[in-house]
Amino acid sequence: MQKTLLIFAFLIILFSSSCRKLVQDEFEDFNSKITINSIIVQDEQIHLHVSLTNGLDAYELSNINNANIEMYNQDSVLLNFNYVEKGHYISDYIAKENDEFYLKLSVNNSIVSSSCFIPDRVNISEFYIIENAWVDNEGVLQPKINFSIINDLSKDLFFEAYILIYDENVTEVIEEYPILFFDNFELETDIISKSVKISHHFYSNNINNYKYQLIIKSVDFNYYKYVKSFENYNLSRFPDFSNAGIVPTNLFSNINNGYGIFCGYSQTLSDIKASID
Amino acid sequence: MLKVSFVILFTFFVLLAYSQVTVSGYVYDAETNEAIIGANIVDTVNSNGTSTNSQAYYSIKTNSTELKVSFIGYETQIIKINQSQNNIQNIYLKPLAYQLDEVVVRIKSNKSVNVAKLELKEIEQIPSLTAQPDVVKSTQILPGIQSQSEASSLLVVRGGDPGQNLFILDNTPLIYVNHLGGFMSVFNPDIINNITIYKSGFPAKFGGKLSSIIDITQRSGSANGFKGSFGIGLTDVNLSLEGKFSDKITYIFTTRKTLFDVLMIAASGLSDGGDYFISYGFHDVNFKSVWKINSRNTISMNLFQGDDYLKIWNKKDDLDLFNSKIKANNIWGSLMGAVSWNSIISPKIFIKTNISYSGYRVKDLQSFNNSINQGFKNKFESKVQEISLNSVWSFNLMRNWTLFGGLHLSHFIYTPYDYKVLGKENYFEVLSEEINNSSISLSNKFKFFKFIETELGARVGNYFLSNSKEFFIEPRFDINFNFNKLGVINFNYMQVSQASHLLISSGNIYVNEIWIPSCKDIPVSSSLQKSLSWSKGFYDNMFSLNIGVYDKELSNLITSEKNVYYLSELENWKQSIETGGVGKVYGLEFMFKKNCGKWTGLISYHLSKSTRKFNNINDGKEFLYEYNRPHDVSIFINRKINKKLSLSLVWNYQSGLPITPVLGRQNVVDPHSNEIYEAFIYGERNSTKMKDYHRLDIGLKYETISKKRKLKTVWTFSIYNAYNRQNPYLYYYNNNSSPEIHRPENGFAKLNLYQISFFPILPSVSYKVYFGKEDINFKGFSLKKWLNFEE
Repeated sequence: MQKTLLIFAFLIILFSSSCRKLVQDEFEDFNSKITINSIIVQDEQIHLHVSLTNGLDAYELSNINNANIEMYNQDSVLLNFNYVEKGHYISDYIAKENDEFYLKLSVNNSIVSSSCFIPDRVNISEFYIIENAWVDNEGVLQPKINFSIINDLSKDLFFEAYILIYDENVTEVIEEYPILFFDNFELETDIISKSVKISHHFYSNNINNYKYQLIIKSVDFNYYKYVKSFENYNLSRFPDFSNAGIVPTNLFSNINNGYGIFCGYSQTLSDIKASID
Repeated sequence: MLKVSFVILFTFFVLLAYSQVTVSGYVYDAETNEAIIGANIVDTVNSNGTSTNSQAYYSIKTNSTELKVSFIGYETQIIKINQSQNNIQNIYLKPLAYQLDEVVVRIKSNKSVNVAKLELKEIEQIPSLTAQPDVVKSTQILPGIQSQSEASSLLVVRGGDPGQNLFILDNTPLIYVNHLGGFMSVFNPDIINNITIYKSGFPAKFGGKLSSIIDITQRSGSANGFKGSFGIGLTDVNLSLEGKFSDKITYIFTTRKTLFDVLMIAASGLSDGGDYFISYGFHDVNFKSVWKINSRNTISMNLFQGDDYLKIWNKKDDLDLFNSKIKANNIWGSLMGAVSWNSIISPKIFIKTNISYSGYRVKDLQSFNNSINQGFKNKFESKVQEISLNSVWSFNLMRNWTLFGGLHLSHFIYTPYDYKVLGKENYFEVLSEEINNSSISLSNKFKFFKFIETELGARVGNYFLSNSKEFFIEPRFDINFNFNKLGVINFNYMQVSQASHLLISSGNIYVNEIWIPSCKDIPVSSSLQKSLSWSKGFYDNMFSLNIGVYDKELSNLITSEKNVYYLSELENWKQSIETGGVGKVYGLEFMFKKNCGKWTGLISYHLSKSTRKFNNINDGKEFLYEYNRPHDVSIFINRKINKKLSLSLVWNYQSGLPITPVLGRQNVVDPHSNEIYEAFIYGERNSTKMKDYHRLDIGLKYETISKKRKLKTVWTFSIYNAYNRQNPYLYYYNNNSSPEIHRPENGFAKLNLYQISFFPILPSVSYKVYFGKEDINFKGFSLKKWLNFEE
């Protein structure tokens, strides 16, 4: 009996011993580079976050408080930036539609550059919500958002549709999230129409009294690529047994000689509406 | 000029055909009536020869009065020929009596490394994870065939995708071939007769998959009365029964079923921490019946059904006021049915016609109930169905010229994503696509000057896709120069197309296989492969050596940026994939075998590079394929120690799988919350690799035959990963303090690279008893005797 127990104990140790193992705890040095993170929104002040990349051995990433920022708009006006805290800088300039921005930023002897564009706002020609439009995987009836926007056939356009859900009295935003990314490629109509299924949180109450507001963001190509890569990055970041073959995805960057994102969008807000049955 | 050439050619063939008769028929085992595939039939006058095909059919033109028929393990037979007319002659070979010092295993020597044959005897010698023979894993000792990952049955053949291999079970395609998430294959060795693996050089009758054809022939069942076997191992119990319904109709039935389903429920029920019961299991059932109508005609029927199932449900919780009940039921597997008719129309013409259905589905059922609302039930299903008619024929036109033709009609229905809420109106769109495929194949096999054998043919047809049509023409060319003492040089050229694509989706425990069809936006994939090889037998084929090189180009491949799909992404599967991929593979294969004697075995080596290129992945730059393993070595040794005991070793070494390295870390902005957090900076896709993989498996087989009862029993002991190598399954970055995966919200920390391994050293045992009708006698039954502990 004792022998049997010993054999079982040996097997259990063998089984449990081989699951997780350290492969590498020292890595090659990674040359620090400047990282800029800035998403410029029309009618808002411009924010910049500046930091340095670091290797896997580092305990934290350094924020930069002494960056030399040169940013011009399409009229060659130099924008003034003030340091706030933890690598954040802010400008007094309010971004507008059709603004183009050219950025050159230096920290000590390193220089990075980038540019972005704030597209025209788009007109929402139709927006309505059907309250009980589809059944989710738990058998609950859920709403569908329908909208149409005006297309400009002369340009390649990129959009993000975003929904805000308010309580009955429109005093509080209960939920907000992006619902769709789309472009106008291969479309030859003056109107772009979309229908998107959304789901309320399972704990939501009185959903029939909710009010909805649609935001259509006209985004520049850099924003479009960045958000797409951001989704894929998060999905492939944590491999496990069920997705061991997953290949990590890098985040899109348009910073020359550095990392991060410099992009922008303009946005159009719809009226706040109740749903229809 | 063309007319003159034609006349010369015609006269040449007519002269060759002069004063010859055609002899054809089937070759069977004289004791069991089992078909003998690959038996050699040689004309005793001029040594012209042929061998039986996968239906055991042969056809030979000869001016001799005698034919010599031989096959390993059987007595060679000389048969007399009536030279006055063409004739059909079925041949029955007698098995050799067992002799200790005689041939143990003789692995058939092949003309090139493109085609390999495995017989059940060989498969049974190769140790496996479960101490029971595994058909698909046995193929992985051959050069150019690798498993996708540890213990997986998914094959990567010459750098192709796992979804580019066609498994054919008695002329019928089988779409899903795995049990236990790929640790075992669905092919039950009890019913297997022979396996032929084509890595290139596909005969014109085969198509539809780019990288390999694995043609599995099943046994017909015993014609000499009832017999069977019962086996038990750590994973499953298995039973096979075979016999005859009448003198002309035989049958074979085999089945396997897991044992640990109940144990898992008990174990999960007893565990304190878990809130759920878990049960996992699989089964498969095979049935084949063969009706030998007369010496010319045979009709056979095949049925296969195999499923895996994972069930999870919650324990009763006294603290749960709402009495919640949760159930999840995952089922996945295949169903196949076929009827085949083989007919020798005349001594020169053989026709094989087959009508079949093959289906695969993965199904996920979930239900939730509690005392305060009605709850819900939903079902996800992804499936493929195929109905096919295949008719192939061979026409032995002249002594040196055989014509092969075929007609192939298939109707496919693909439903990659079907989601339903049960009991409610279904608002989910079901995207089913249908493909019709019609093709004809024609191939000519010529022999010139006694040392040149060539096969020239093509497969031509159409894929009728949902919104478009694609015509294809696939030329095939194979030539052998047999220089006798200097060996055989083979050159092969082939093109193939494929209108289905395999996506790997993240599942509850393992990955799910999801098949999607080609359509207007997803073009048909194709490949072009060239290979050159040299083969030579030594010491009367006791040893053989094969060396070959190949070059393969793949086009119109699909993938996703991440390589693995989540079920939610499959609703819009057309939008989530990257198309237009290009693959390049080239490699060298080497195989040295000892084919007979007490010691048998092989050494195989595969050197290769496999790359992929997609416009929207890795900035459009070429990258190493996810399963690229440049070096792959297998050593297989089998030693027949004595009459009862044999020992086998398999050692396998493979380069580590490519991975994408993390170079550093950066701050990123969440585009919706505008918060700043930390993220990884990855290097180029698949630009570094995991640690190399190597493993030793040992198998010991102990066979006894009871003198009184003539009952054969086999004990198989195996040790998987004998030196407990911790081979990497996946890599991830983490901090020291926590076994949990590091997440950005946990704050900054120094990170290390860790690996997860699957299998440590795993001993296993299985027991099998073979019985005949005389053994089924319960009067005076003794378990000890039955298990053959007492002789």
